[in-house]
Amino acid sequence: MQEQTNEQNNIITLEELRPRPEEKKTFSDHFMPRLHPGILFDPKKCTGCGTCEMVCSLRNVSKIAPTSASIKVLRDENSVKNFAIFCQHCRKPLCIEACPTRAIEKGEDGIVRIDKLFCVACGLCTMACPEAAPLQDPITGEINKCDLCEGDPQCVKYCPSGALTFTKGKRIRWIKALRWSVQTISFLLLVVALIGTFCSLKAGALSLSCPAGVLQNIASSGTVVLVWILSASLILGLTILAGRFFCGWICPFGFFLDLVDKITPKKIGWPSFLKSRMAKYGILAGAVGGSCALGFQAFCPVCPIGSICRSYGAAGTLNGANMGIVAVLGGLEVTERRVWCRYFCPVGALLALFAKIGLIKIVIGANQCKKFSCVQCAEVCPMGIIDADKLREGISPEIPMTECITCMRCIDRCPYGAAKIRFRWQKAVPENVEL
Amino acid sequence: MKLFDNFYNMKVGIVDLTQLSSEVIPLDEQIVAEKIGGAAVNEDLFRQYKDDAPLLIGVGPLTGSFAPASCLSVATFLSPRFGNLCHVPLMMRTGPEMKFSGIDFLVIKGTASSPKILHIDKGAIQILSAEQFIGVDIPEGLQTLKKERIHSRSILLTGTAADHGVPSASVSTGFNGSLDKAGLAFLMASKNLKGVIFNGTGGLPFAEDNLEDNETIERKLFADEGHENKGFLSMLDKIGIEENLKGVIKKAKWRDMACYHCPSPCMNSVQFTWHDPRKNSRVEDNILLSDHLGFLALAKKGGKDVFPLSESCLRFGLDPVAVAEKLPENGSLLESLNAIEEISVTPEEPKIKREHHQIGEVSAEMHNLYGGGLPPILAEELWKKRVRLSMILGVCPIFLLRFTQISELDLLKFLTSNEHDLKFLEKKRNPISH
Amino acid sequence: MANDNDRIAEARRFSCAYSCVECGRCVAVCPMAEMYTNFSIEMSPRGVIKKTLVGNDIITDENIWYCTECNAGTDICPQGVSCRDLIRGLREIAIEENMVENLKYCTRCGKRFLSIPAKNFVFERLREEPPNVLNVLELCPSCRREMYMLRNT
Repeated sequence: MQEQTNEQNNIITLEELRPRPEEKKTFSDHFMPRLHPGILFDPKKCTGCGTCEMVCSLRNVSKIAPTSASIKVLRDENSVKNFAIFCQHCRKPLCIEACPTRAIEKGEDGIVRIDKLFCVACGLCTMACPEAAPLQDPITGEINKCDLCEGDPQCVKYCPSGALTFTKGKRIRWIKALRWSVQTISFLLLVVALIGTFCSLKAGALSLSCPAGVLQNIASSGTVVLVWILSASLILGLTILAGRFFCGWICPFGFFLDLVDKITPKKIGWPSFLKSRMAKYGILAGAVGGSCALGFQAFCPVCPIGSICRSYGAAGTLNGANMGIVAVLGGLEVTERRVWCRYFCPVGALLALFAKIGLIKIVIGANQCKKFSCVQCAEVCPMGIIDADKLREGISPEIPMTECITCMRCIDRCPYGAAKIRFRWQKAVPENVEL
Repeated sequence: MKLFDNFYNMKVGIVDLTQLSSEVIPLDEQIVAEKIGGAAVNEDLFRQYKDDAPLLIGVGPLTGSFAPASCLSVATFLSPRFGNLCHVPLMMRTGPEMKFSGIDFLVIKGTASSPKILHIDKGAIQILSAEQFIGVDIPEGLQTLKKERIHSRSILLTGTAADHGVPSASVSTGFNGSLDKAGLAFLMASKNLKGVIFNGTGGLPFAEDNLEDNETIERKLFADEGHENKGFLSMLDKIGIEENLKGVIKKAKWRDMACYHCPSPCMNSVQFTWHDPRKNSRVEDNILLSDHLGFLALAKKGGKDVFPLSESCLRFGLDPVAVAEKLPENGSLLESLNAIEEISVTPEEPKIKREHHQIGEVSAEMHNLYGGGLPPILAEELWKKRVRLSMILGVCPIFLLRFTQISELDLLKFLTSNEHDLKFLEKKRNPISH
Repeated sequence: MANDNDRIAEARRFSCAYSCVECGRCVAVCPMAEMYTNFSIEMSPRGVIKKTLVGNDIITDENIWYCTECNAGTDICPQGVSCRDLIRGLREIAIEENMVENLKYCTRCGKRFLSIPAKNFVFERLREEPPNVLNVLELCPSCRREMYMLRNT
């Protein structure tokens, strides 16, 4: 008996026979991403009729047997609410990790399937799933897990109240294309083509001024010139309409940072004690106070936005000092995405104050959001304001518009239409009415 | 009969509470061929066991199938309140869960010496002690079930009112009451039967083309009426409710709830906040309203207090219509709540009610034959026909009453598409004797 | 203790353990070979069956706690031995004797739902997940579904 334990080394495990597929990102993934199909459930519409269980069990065992279905309807006696539990076909499925016999695979079509050839019905996939979605058949003992009926889910077809809907989860990322175009044009205009910098731009009769610069001007000179206010208010007006749209779409330094992001996808991390979003307000206050004390604009000379505009002078001359400032502050980007914008930029701070009273907000609709099974919006947000922990717990988070740069990467990325723009007064959830 | 092979388990469960024994015997094919199912077969079995004062619970062939609203199981017994043989429809999921737990008809005879609860699972009936369920109200009883880890997909439970021997006690299918106004809970309590638990883990194949037949019917339904004829409020409208009451009631937060496989819900879950005078604080409650006549009776007496009053009735397991009769005429909420609590602990000998006035357009006699809870929204002849059809086939009677465009033939198509068999079934006119 | 011996005898009988011919088919399909680096003959279904047949000290053996109760061994056994029924029977006796260290309890409802070695395997495979996900996995499947429902309605 003893010698057999040493044969452990000659055992070929299923991990070797059926290795897990590698995560490869192809070029087309950038604009036409992989499919993330899924069933969306709206608890407000669910009447608890259980028809979904019936049609699902018909497909599984050719009988109407609700306990043999791959979908389970929970009926809570206390709150009298209904909920349907079914496989979400996660982007990074935990069941695949836990299956000891490598029976579960995520196909090219995005569907997570259990191959009955390898499945021994141990139930460890259920133990690994945050939702315990794979269901054990009480009669046969087999594991029934949703396979989206190979693309035409029956439960969705036969739900009488329309609580279940099916989405192929495809999204053409046109916002991305638009935004990169606008950013490029803005960069070319502000840095290369037009005379003057973003700080105070004159294009014919129109003049555009950086609001933070105007503030420092007022503080340093002690006078208020109407023309300054009016020209700064163009940007401020845009901010009230569309949040920190400037930061996400127009700022040339922001464009530079986005390019650095593309080259340095792996970030080395920013120390957590320096992660104060309030710091930028402090810097704004310092800039204004400093201007008052010094009698000239305190921050504008070292501002990276101004620096990047001044880097390229008339007739192609390059200014070393300004480029240096851009390089140093832009280099912070290797630690975390948009570090400058999150913690330090005073222009952003001023725009944030106006975004707070802005008209729009970005919401993540709880019913369409696939939460722990997707988490793409949190991964793609450059400002890191979508709480991934909340998503993994199954709560769809609130997005602070003071930090959001309205780049709309979340809206672009979300395959289920959960992330969307709404006016601030639009209610996401109806209120509780008292008698 | 081969026609019904895929629609029934062909099993009858016999429980003797006096001997504390149970057995499962095959269902006689002759009875099914003669009477088809539901209330008609119940009656036959009742006559077979009538010496033991039986309680019968049975399903129809279409119960659990893709026929719309196929949730029905029928309880047949001698009503202590009306005095006649009564067929009470039990909705939610009792029918399908009983069928899927392996039994088509359940005969409960005798009286137990101590409180018992039945548990039916995988074709076997267990008689369990129900001591821990006595004296607890229905929500607490459901919690106890969970704590004891008794697997239950559907239950019939009686509340504290039944424990105290109140004749207007009503059985509950979960914390949502039922259409039992005939004293089923009182009967169960007199047998020392606290409840019946069904844990349906099996299934039946039914017929292959059932799903398409269901689609055809649903398309017909929704083409005609759209989705307007659904919901608790639209039913109240049909029965008849005063405008000012309607306005008050609409302010609560409603959500449609449906029984097994029902495409057009007629129940509502309500979330409401109210000031509880006994605790002197604001309380938030959730209840599932399924009993239209009961709700109307309470609303007439209580106005906008109908929600906390309904919650009280559901909690103790009382019939709201009988309770509403005893409530003070212009009493305050506190007085009414105290009255309900008083009713729930006052035992009485049931007085056989022989009423001679109509309810809606339906005679009292016909109304009481079917438990006293079905809404009288059609003229008597048609009402009788539709309810009888539903009780035999095992489809929800309220659904058939609301949607008269669904014909008998439409439903029989779920059993067979064979012309010969259809003719055979149509010829069966199964009267339920009264 | 005498009562235990009777119950072990009952478990042997109920699972048809006496029919075992030590062919090893159950070991071949057993997922434990994939899960545990210390997979040994004592842990395998064949080993547990053998030990049960030769003595009464199987209950204190930690090797009865590795099984996932998947039933693959029962399905393939040519003699009709149910290794799952045997493991279940033995575990029940052990639980009666209050030997519950190898069982995972749900942190919300207190139900026993998994053996510790199987739980360690799952957590080892999921070690790169953030802690709040692993917290959810400390609940039994029913509680997980209920909590998910409560957070979303």
